Amino acid sequence: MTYQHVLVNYLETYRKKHHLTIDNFIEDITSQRSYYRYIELTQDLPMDVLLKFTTKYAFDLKELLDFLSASPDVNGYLAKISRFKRLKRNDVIDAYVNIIKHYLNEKQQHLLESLLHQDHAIESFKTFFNTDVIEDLIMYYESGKHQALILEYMIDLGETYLAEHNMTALKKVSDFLDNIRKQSSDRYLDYPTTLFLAHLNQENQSSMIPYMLSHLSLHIFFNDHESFKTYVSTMNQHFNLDFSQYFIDMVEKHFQSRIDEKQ
Amino acid sequence: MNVQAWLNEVETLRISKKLNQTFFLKDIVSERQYRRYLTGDSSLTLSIFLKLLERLDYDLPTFLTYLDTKKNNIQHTFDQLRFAIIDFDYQHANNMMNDLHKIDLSEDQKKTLKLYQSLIDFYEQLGQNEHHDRMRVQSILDETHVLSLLDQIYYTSSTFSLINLLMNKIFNLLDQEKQQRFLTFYLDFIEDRKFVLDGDALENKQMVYSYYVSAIYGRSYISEAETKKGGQLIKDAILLTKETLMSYNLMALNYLNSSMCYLHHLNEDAKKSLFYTFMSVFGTGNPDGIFPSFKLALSQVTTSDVIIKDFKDELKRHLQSDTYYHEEVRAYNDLSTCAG
Repeated sequence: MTYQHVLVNYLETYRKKHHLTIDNFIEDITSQRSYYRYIELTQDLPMDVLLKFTTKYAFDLKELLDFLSASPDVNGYLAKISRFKRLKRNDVIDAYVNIIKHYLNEKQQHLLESLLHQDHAIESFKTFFNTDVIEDLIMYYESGKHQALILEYMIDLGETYLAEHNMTALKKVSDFLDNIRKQSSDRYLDYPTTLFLAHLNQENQSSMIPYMLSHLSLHIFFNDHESFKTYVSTMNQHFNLDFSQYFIDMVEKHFQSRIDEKQ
Repeated sequence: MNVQAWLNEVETLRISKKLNQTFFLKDIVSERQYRRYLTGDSSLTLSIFLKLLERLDYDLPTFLTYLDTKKNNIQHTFDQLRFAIIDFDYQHANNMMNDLHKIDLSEDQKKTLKLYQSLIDFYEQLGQNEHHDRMRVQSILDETHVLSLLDQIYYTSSTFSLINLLMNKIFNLLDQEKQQRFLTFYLDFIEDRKFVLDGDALENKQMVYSYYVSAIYGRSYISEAETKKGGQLIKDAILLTKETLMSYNLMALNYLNSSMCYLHHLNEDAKKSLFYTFMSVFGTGNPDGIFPSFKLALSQVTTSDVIIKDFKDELKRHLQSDTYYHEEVRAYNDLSTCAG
């Protein structure tokens, strides 16, 4: 697929909206004759010209392509479907399915079916990625491939390892997610990752408690089907602690009026 | 990044995939021509570039994601720096700036660092001399040209973030006319007169709502109609987080709701939002860094004793009965009741 028709269409729309003449718009970038050839698609748009436009008008080329692309980012939507399925927020899933349903290839169709009909689609993810080796997936992630889907797979994998008490494998997954969440503005990642890290640091309370306070707080915002009361009670029993007291201690520590402040 | 640099990345990928150059270029371009591209003697066309990428099993967006990932470390530090400044965590921000000064940065990155340094210096000396404060606000406005940026129609997400950061830091110190320009700026997005070109559309909408209500409640005078509109938008913005999952945004939204309800003596709603504000703070994993700013901000509307008692009462309520956040938001949390 060439993006040239999309790009020139965008450039022309931008130019007209800003009431720029072609001469002004292309100044220091290309000639008027060449520009007409690009927009008529009779000449290939050179990369350096494209980059000059994106630099001069401060377009982010990648985001611009995503924005203008005629086809949706199918893998991105599949990752969202996987996430919202996990959160049981089914009301938004139908809209995502409608957006991508005409653009799915066979592998994506298969993954979608299993995401919609299974609680955990781990086997389908493995088929989709053609591997279940974590190191390979991390390498894929670093090379920019299937990033959103790999994150969801890793979260599902972490939940499975936690349920199986496979702490060695859980550590590998958690280290990856912990590293990614620190570089990301996607705050949902904190919710599963802090739970995994709390379990991995179970023997070290000073590390474990902050992870659990973060996780329990996020539970309120990310879990619509298990109440805070039930969840805190379950976690208190598991870790043999009263987490609610740690919340209170922290608030008192920061908000207690000190004698010196009163004076 | 120029075309040669992109081609060098393509070469790196080709070599890492152990693809023979002859095979790699077959039926696309001659080896001689390819070398001319690499040396910059000839200009590469988009269609040839896309074919080369395809042979590496990349398309353009994936390739650009790959480049983004490579430069992610520096960008990540800049993002963290911006968040630290928003959170008033200047010590952490200064440490990160010191580290960044040791790295070879682009001119744009150097300019951004300079702006961040000005904002930190400004806040560290804020309140010592009112005239001086106003002069420094004016100098930040002049340096960044932010007021003229407000007049555009299309924005990249990086420009949008820059404006948001400045709004967050200097809005309260602007005169009424300039504050109104920021308000109009955000309202134009809500009413589809301005657009952010890139990024996630829903997340951008979430940001616009949050900054608009922050701008409304950041002013000394708020009309009844604005209070009502702000209250409704807070509720809309919170409900939007059900899909955007931007939990960090809930901290500001619930804080605004809480402080406005305390101010209007709507104590039941105030303490509910206070609890959710604090749980959002815990959610960040950095309560020690963030609570001091909330202590200062909430001291304008209530006392520490009330805050502690209200938090404990609410925690107890949530531990004694089954509560669900989004149901609670639908049921209360509408500042339109504060109007007047």
